[in-house]
Amino acid sequence: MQVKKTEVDERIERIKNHKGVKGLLIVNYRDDKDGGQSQPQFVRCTMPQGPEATNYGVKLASLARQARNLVRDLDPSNDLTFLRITCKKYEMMIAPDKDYFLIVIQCPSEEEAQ
Amino acid sequence: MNQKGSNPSNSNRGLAVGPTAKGLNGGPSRRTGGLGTTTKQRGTRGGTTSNAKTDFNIEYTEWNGERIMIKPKALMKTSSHNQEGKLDNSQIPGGTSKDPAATGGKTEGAAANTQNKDQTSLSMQSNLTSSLMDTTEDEEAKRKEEEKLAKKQKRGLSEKEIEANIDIDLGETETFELLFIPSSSVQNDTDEQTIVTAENKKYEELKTNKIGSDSYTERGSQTLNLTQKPKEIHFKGFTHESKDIQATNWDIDDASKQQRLSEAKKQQIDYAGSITGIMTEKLKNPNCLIDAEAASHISIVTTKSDQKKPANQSGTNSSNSNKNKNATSSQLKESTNKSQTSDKMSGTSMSQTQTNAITSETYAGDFNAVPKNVEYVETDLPETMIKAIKIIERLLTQSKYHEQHVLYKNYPPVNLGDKHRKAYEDDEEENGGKKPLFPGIKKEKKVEDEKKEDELDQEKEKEDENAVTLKHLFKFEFDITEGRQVSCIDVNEANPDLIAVGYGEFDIDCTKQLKEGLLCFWTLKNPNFPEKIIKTEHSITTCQFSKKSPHLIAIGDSHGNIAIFNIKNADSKPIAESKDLEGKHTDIVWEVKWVERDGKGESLVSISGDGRVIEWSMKKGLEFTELMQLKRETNPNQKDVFGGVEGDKKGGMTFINTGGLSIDFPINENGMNYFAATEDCTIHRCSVSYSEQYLGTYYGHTGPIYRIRCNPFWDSQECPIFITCSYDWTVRVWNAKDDNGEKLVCHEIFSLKQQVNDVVWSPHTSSVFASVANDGRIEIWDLYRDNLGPQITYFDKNSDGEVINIPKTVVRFSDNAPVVLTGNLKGSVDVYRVNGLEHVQVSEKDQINRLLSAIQKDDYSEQKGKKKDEDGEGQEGEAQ
Repeated sequence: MQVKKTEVDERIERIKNHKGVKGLLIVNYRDDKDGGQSQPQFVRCTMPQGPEATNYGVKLASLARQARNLVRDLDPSNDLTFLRITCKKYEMMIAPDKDYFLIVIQCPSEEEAQ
Repeated sequence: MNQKGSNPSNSNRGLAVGPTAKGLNGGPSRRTGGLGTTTKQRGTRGGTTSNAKTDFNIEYTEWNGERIMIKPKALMKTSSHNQEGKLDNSQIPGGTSKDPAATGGKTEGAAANTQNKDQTSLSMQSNLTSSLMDTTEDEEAKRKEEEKLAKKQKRGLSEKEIEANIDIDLGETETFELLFIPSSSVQNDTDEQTIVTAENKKYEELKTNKIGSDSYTERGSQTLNLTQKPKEIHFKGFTHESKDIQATNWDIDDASKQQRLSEAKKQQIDYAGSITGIMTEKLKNPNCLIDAEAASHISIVTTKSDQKKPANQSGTNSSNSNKNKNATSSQLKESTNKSQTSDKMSGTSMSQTQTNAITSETYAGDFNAVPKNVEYVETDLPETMIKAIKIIERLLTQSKYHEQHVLYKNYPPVNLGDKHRKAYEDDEEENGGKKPLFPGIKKEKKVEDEKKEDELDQEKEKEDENAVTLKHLFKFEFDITEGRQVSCIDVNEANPDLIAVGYGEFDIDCTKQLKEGLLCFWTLKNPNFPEKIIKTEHSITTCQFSKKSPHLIAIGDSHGNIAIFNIKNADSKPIAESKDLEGKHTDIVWEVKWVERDGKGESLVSISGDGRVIEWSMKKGLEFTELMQLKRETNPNQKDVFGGVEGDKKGGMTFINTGGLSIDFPINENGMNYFAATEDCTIHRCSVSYSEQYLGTYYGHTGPIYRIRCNPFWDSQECPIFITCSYDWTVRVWNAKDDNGEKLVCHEIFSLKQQVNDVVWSPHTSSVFASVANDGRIEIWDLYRDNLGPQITYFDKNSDGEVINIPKTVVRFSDNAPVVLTGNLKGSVDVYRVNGLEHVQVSEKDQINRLLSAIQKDDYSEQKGKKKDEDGEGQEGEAQ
């Protein structure tokens, strides 16, 4: 419906094309307190839709939510900026937004090869 | 035999008030309780009940609630109230009213309360039998009796009846309390006791005063008790729903921080909401006559908060928000057809139904269970996400450029990640590859190799400890900048990670093909994409951040315009522009400089190819004052050059303007003096206050001077050193104070056969400067160590190790990092880490001394002599 791409979309494109980025996910994962959806919704997904993507998205989002709760419980004026999980094969970065979680999976070893 | 005929002046009417409430006898008075307590008197009348108040002069024998035999005398009418509500007119004209059954001898019998006032004295001769027993057993008997009496009444009283004995039963009513105010007691010898006794005293006084005083009158009042009617209703009861809520610490914090809307605001929002609701309703109807364009205006006026809600919220709110979005994204002037809006809304309502269909089966709080169906939704992402996206971008670049960042920031390197990675790679190689024949040896070999490498490195390090090396860190470039030339770089003082790069044509002959200019703001954190891009009409030739207000940046462009931008603004329009001013520059603006002056604040000075030096001030819009017109001066050493012109050569020359290419203000001089470098190879020292004459001129260069820079440790008395670079392949260091300005110290580079484009002093060390030339080289000099040759001459190398000769156009040192930035003709800005330059932490004085000694160090002539012998090349003879 929108004629022009928003800046947000442009930037997402850039991230997608960044070297080494395996996939990008944006998950809408609101808290239960809103009395509605505790089920996650994927707003954008560059990985092929399937159980893998679902796994990543849902689990990372709930982990990030826990992390965010932790940070805020310790000090309510604080907030989570991002959560980064480095593992052997790749690296997962999750940045929370007000209602969404942005998840990017990057394979740094691919980068080094380049 | 004891009738309590107590008649206290104020009857209590049966009320039991006060401590002696119970019992006719008063019971134990609670007034005087235990030891040493005083009680508050609370309106106790002190009276005892007067249940049985009779003024009868009746002889009666026993009184135990039993029948009392009397001799009735004259019949008198009495009306007596039974307080329990049963009226009993004892108008019994004698007669046999004996009813043994009626009186049962009960202690709590019927009340015989008689009002004192209503009572009239009865003659006791009457045959009164006021059977006042009210027991249930007696009711039937009573009824019978009443009938009898009624009959008798009709007939009247017979003699006999009058003479008959009437039984009167007196009993005690049940005592019930209507009001009981217990008194409170206070311990003696306490503060409270004094208070209480005082209050009691006061009260006593009041009582005595009240009696005859005029302030108090007695008055009766009437209360109306409305009749009540019972009514039945049917009530289903409340339905219960249980709901779980988690109130975390931060949740509460968030809620408390939420701004409370004032009532008015709420009303406004509600009002606006209802308007949009009504409008949408109306517009749905195809027969609606409301102009949809007007409708779009209205929807725009509604609160902006609607726009930001994600569209998958059910309800009219989101349909409004979508409508708002669509209305605002399609511009105001666009006409929105009625059908269009209704289509949009039906579209959104469809997407809503889509989103409302929730298909996921488990809720994802459970880590192990993964929902089988996750919904894929295509909704617009809110603008607020940009922040999160930026973070992610930076994260990505961080992981990529981590090492370089560490070098840039000069942190001690930490190799956590690498170790693990190496280990993993080793494993992989061993397992993945073919099984080597001699695995043991292979491993050893590897280790050996590594060791060797380490050794080599160490050796290298030892050698090169004193040598200056440059290591390329990264490049700032991206698609749009490719093909353009970097014309200026400036590092922000307040935020040293922020670098402004101006792109434009660099050659002086460029005025024919003018491309638009570009100003990009790069940050260290993301070398792949600039933070902000400002496009300008003409190519930018110079830019500088203001020192006083670091969010302002001034640029000069190839059309003679000056613009000042505020980078905090979201749009890319300058806050001040000289485009339309008369008297602005008419040629390329080659340099702009912010100068701070006491009292005058900060002003902008620009120099351009039309030979004028103009000062701009922002106080009222953009105003300018011309500081100087640069005029051609003949070089007294080269008079012969202009030999062709006869006569008033000098006079003729002064009317010709020469273009100024560079300007610099020395730091400590309060912006009064400045140096201007011109196209005709001269440097003029001028003062702001004199616009006609120069204070001094320095000759020596043989080509247009591209850059002049005063030493950051300038001192007008002791260290007036500045440096220039020019088209004539040389970089020269000058001492401003030398007699007549003719003496100079120059340093020439012989391998350099190209113009030197830029030169800059190092901000940390007074004797260090860097220069870049058209053959792509960067040179770093340290005059202290060696004032004849550069410390390092660096060429970019491409991946094959070949030297790349892209001309470099700008060079800058960074203030907070040991880094050099250069811009080149291809549009990329390279960042190099400088190793080996001793960061001399010495005082200013020492810096000055260092520089001076560097310049005057070895006898220059000696060196000159030596060089001559070595190279056999002559130098230009401007030396001492």
